[in-house]
Amino acid sequence: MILDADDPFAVLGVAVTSTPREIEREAQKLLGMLELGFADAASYPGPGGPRPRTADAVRAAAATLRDPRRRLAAELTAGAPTAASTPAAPPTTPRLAWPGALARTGWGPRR
Amino acid sequence: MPRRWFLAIRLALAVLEVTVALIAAAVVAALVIIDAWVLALLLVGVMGWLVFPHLALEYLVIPRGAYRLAAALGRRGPYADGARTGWFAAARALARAGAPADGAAWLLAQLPERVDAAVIAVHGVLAAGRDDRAEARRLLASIADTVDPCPSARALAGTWLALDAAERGAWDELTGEARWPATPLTFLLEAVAARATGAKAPSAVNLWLRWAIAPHRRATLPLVRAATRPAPPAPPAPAPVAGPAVDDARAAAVVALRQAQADRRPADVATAVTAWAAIVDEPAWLPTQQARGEALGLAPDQAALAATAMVEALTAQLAELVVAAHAPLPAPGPGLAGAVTARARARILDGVELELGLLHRRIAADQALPPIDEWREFLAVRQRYHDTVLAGGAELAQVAFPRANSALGDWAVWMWNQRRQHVVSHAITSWLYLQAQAVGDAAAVEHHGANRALRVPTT
Repeated sequence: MILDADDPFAVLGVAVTSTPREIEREAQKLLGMLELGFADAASYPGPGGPRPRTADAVRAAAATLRDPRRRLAAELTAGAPTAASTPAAPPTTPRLAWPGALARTGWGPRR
Repeated sequence: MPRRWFLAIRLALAVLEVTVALIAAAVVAALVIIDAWVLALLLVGVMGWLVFPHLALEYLVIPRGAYRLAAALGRRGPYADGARTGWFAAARALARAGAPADGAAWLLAQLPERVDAAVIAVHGVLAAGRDDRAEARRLLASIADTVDPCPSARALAGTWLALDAAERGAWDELTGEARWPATPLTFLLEAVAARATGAKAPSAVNLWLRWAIAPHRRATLPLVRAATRPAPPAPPAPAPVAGPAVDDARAAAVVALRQAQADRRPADVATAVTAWAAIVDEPAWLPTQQARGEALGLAPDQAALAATAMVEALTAQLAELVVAAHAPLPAPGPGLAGAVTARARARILDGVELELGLLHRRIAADQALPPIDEWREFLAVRQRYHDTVLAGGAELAQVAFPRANSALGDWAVWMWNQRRQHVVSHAITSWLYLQAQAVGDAAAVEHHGANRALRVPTT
């Protein structure tokens, strides 16, 4: 799958152009912060809003970016705006509905 | 009953019922005054049994889930449609009680072996009782596809479907005359739907008259009040929120793919395919990826393989989405969109081949399902064909139809000759006839046209 839920660059908070050394340093820093319980390190901006950052996710992201083939694929989908930041649809007028219509007219199971 | 006279005739009947009830009440009162208690009770019983059994059914028996009594009352009422009305009343009472297994088994044992509109209606109402709304909707809506005219089954299905649509606020499903033959309740809901959707709506007076002749007036009163209330002025449209600028085509393509994955709408999938094709089909894209792979430490041949693998993965993911979202296939041709089309097309045809192959083998082996399950299988096969083949476009339908024609044609013949399930067979034949017309298969049109003209024995 070309588009995974976790963008490894976003998990590590590094740029697509980062060098392997920078990536390793950032991964180690994040692992240390997570171990010490730093709130700043506990989440990262993902598609659909903030996502929890765990030590396992950091290790998996670093492993992905260590492999040139997987990093090449990750670069293709990295850094795009998250769905949460796209404009919300305008509110619509609530539709007239008749909740419990079947039950209230004896056509559905008793509620 | 002609539609234009429906309201007038129903109003007249309602006035007549009220008059009879008042006269009966006066006679009962007179009998009580002269101490003729036995006669008074007898008259109440006779009125309840002969003149108002539908009221007793609707407001006493069905709400209490007394399915055996409902069957007996329904069968004997003045408006009864043979045994069917009893089955329908029992099914409704069972649905009210949550469709207990022993009661459902008792009712199903009363039904004939041959599937017809009434049998489908009973199974649909029982599915509703089990709270399996999707199955109930599927079965009850399918009654319109049967050749069996059975107005009572159609009215029952129309009422349930109308109430279900009202519950979901899906008023567009109720506009027009789709629910004919109407019942007083569906006639009312049609008018509410027309007002809710802004279609050609009846006047408020007409709506209140429809409410007056419909049952469950206390339950429908808030709905009618809401429908007759003038619509509040629309709130001002909020100023568009500026999102972050999508800096390049690649970022836009990622957003499109994410959107397509999230909601699986055909239009979003088509946008994602177009967006990625615009990137990947650029002549410079593959060499750029190869160069990047080399910069990341891959050997030149490995970098080329990695870049090709990315296109392959992207093609697979987009094809998967096209199939899952029932999106139309992009035009065949070179490039990413063409590859997505080829892959999605192969997947759809493989799925059709597999499903129809299994069906063919089952028929050849004479492995019969219970009649109602044969009907369910027809609905499922037809739905999947619509969702995949017909959604894929005319070219895909041309390729898939001969296979469908062979398997479903044999199924229809088997259902008619061996199983004696004429209603099921006729529905399969009629559907094949329409598909044959759509793809312009003259021989199939002639063959199925002759078969669908055969007289279908109905009970």
